[in-house]
Amino acid sequence: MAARPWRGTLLYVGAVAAMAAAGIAKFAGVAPEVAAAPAATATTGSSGVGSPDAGSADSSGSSDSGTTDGSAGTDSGTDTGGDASSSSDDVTIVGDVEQTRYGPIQLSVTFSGDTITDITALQTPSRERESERINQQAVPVLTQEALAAQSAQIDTVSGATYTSQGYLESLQSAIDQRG
Amino acid sequence: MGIPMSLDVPGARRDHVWGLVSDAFEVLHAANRRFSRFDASSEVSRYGRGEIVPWEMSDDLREVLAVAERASADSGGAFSVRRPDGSLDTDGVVKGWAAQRAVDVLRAGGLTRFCLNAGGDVAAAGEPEPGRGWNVGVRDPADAQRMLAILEVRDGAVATSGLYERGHHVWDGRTGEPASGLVSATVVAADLMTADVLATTVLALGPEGVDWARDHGAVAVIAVLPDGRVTTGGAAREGAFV
Repeated sequence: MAARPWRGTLLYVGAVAAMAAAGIAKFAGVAPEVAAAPAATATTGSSGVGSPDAGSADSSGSSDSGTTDGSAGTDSGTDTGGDASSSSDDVTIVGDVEQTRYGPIQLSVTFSGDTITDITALQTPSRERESERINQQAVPVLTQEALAAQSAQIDTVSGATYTSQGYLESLQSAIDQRG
Repeated sequence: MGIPMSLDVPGARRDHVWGLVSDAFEVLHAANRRFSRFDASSEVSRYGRGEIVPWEMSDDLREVLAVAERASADSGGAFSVRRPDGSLDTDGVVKGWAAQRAVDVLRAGGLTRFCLNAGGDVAAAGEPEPGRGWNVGVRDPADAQRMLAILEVRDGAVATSGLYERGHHVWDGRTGEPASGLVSATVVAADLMTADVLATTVLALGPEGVDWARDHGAVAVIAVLPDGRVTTGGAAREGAFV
């Protein structure tokens, strides 16, 4: 596929319905978002249980998400394209508009070096009530997964998931454009 | 409906493993075709309408129905592939069953280090790098940006069933009412099929399902109550989190 040199593990991404299999390179670069190392304790059988990420470590089960609602993944139709102005290494690339059965989806992806640090949905399908409900949920979930997938601390995320192929395709096009 | 899947194979060269990866994904495609409720001509749709006599059933359908039967018996009827309106819905079995078959393909092909995520259900093999297992985040149902826990898994599986993505798609087979005792249930087990069926069953059973699952193959259970509190069982109970 790409003539790019190989730098990390390969993360294949596809969808059951239409597996045009976008291959997403998962780079070894360390994402800083998740600070706490999972202290692997209580190893029973095949698994152990670690600590959650920093910031929620002390709560005894209360999952009131409260304030820290990161802006990633929510549809803020604002900062379109161009370079993000923060650190000189950051670059934001706007992915292609991909059509889904519910309407168009378009993402902008911010890279810091080889690491994806933010994904913003510039357009999400909202043609029908049903699809709004799906996208309110699905886009943040997918953003979390895409970010987590290249984090040094979390390899993958378990959760109830729904998505469209369009998300993956727009994400892939942004990665491809970066080259 | 598309289920996002990803497969992480550390250190692999694409051209070396692509054939195997394609085979594994094809298993999932085939399952999707056979068991799609949204395709009136799929085998499961035709079976649901009574158009397939028992001796015409594929081995796959037979196997899935057997798994469902066992789960129903084990849970006192809480797990059921018959929706309250009487129609057949094998989704509670098929995703985990198909993903486990994909895992079997990868293992048979000689892969010993990989992590498959099929629609939020995770199967892990080996270690992503020497000395540590795969870190599987468990999503907070209330906030996709937050993790309830990070589970370190070597050879094992993590499945989550929740109401937050597809609404009340899980029902309690004993009463026919939508399951509402929990908003999500995550189960760690030795294999993905077990983990997935247990996660759905725990959701159907409600809070009592947490201890129940431990006696039916769960290594750990993490469940979230409607008020946001987290309840755990198995290895998760002794863990350092929550």
